[in-house]
Amino acid sequence: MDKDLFYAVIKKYKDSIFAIAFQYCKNPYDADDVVQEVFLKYYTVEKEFESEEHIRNWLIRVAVNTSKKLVISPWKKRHLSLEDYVETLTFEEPEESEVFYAVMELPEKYRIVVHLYYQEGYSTKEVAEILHIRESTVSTRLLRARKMLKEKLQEVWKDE
Amino acid sequence: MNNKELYQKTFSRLHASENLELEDIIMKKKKFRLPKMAACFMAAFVLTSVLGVGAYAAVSGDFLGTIKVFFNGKATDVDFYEQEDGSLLGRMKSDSKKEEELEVWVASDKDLGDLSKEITDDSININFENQPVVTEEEGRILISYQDQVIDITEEIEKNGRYEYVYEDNGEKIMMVSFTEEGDINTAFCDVEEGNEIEK
Repeated sequence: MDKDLFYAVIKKYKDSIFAIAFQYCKNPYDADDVVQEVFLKYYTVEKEFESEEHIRNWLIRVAVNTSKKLVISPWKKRHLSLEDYVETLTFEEPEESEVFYAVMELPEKYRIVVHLYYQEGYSTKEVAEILHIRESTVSTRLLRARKMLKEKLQEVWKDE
Repeated sequence: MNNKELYQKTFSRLHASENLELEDIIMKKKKFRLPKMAACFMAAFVLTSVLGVGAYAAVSGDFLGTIKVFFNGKATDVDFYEQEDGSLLGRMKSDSKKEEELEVWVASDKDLGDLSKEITDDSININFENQPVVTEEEGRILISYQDQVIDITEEIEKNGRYEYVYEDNGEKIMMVSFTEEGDINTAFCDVEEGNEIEK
């Protein structure tokens, strides 16, 4: 694989992959491990990608699967509390940290649906394909997650 | 600002580590996991039968020795290394002639289960032919038994458990589930008697 292309893909998508992994791992060290693992797979995969969109979707699917595997791994995981991690982030507004905590308190299966929908901009159909679940399940989880977020965040989270 | 914009503004603050050099990524060896019982058994065996310290590995810790491991009759040499944190790393050659790494960890005797095995001074024979095995590959959870491999990821995520019925001197069930810590747990049951015969 062309190294310049490889580094360009890393630069463009590493934060996106990290954020997805973080939804599962809830700590930056394991999320970084997932990022490395995903790009190792990308570098070594023998596959013809049809477009950049194809690359992106593939990376995200691998990130989801790799994160799930890490979470159920019996190995020791390094831990950093969310509070300690938030101190390293540069939220400009108090609403941002409120949203962050509220999302991270959601059940994992709701959290990843919310993230793929709002952060990555996928439709419910596309989220269903990535997570290998039914579209109706995605819709239900999104509905419930929004309700939970509204209860926690009140005016910060608008009705949809 | 709508919800999507607020969400994106929030989570765009998360950044991966800056240190993602290609050479570091390529050097990170692909790890695969043995069935938990096999890994526990191998760790216990190595702890009690260290073959002596050989050449120090440049990459993976202190070399403990080489053990020939038989998986369902196929022999593979596994080099074991002790890591800085005390865990053990095994490096083995797979059928594809590429080096693969497997990690093992310390387990107590009660975790080992009743495996069909033969132990010599420098080999372990692990025979899973008569027992289904649960593995994780690429985020998928698979059950392998004789010639059959099935993917149970969706079912176990949906229901929290999966019952695999197989034939071994009568019909038996292997129950796959997750522990509270997120570990995969297996339990075996005889269908006719309805008793849990081993864990």
